Amino acid sequence: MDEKEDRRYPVEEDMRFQRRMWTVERAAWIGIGVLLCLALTGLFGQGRWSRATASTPGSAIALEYERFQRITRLARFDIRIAASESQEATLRLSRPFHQAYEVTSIQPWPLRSSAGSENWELVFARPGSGDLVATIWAQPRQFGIMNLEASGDRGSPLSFRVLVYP
Amino acid sequence: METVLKAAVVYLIVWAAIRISGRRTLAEMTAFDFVLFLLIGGAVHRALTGQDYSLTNAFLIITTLIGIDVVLSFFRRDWPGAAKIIKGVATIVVEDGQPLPWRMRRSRVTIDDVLAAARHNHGLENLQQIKFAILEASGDISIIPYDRRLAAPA
Repeated sequence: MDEKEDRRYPVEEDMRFQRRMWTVERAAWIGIGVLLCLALTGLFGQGRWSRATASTPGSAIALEYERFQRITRLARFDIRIAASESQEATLRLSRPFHQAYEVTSIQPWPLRSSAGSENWELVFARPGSGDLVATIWAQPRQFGIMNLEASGDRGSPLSFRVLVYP
Repeated sequence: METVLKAAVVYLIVWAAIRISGRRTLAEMTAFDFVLFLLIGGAVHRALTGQDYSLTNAFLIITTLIGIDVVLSFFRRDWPGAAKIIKGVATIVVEDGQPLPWRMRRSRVTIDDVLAAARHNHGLENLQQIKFAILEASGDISIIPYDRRLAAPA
């Protein structure tokens, strides 16, 4: 009797179903392999594909961030605000940032901050020379695609998009 | 609501992972596999509880997982098709003392596995003493010896 045929004794077999399950199993193994490779590239955060930079025309404000983030996992935002005559530098982050993230640390600490209905505003002391570089560590509290905006004292706002995994 | 949904998704992921890893993965529980399952449990635990360590959260997680399990057991009882998908099906791998190589290869069962089950459960020494070896849906190998009077009880 052919191996691929059903036996009725001592158990009732369903080789058609079993063959289908073996195929699904093997397809899933390939899927796992592909998923792991994608994870190594940074599709799920922390990798080459995840690191992203954005800047406004003229580089008034530039940002380094993780394109792919995970809910509750600390995410890092490196913000560079171009040098100017002023003693202070203002960073405005759009309302969705304030709503979706719990900020755990800001380096350097801002001189003052305030939150309005549109923006969350941070005012930093400028360094003696050169650009201001600030780092914000924040935990996403929502998952999904976040359309965020950052703006400085001058120039157009910088729009960037983050995907937060559940 | 989030807790219930999370627990349901975790149940589905763990079920799918166990199902696609194949029956033999479950049956061949070595010390390393045991540690692996503990690690999986730990990873799932953090995802399930998050930062909510309240009794209410634990209660909701437990009831969701047990609830889904009970519902699936009803499906398994009433719909044979669902039972096959949820549990899998039994496959004969040795027939009349002859191994069925295509089935064994596909199921990742070796003759050594069959002989080990035959020794362990019935004290049998070789394949010729085995009438049927069946790879069960659970991943265990059941042995039906030729002459049951000669076989030691399990």
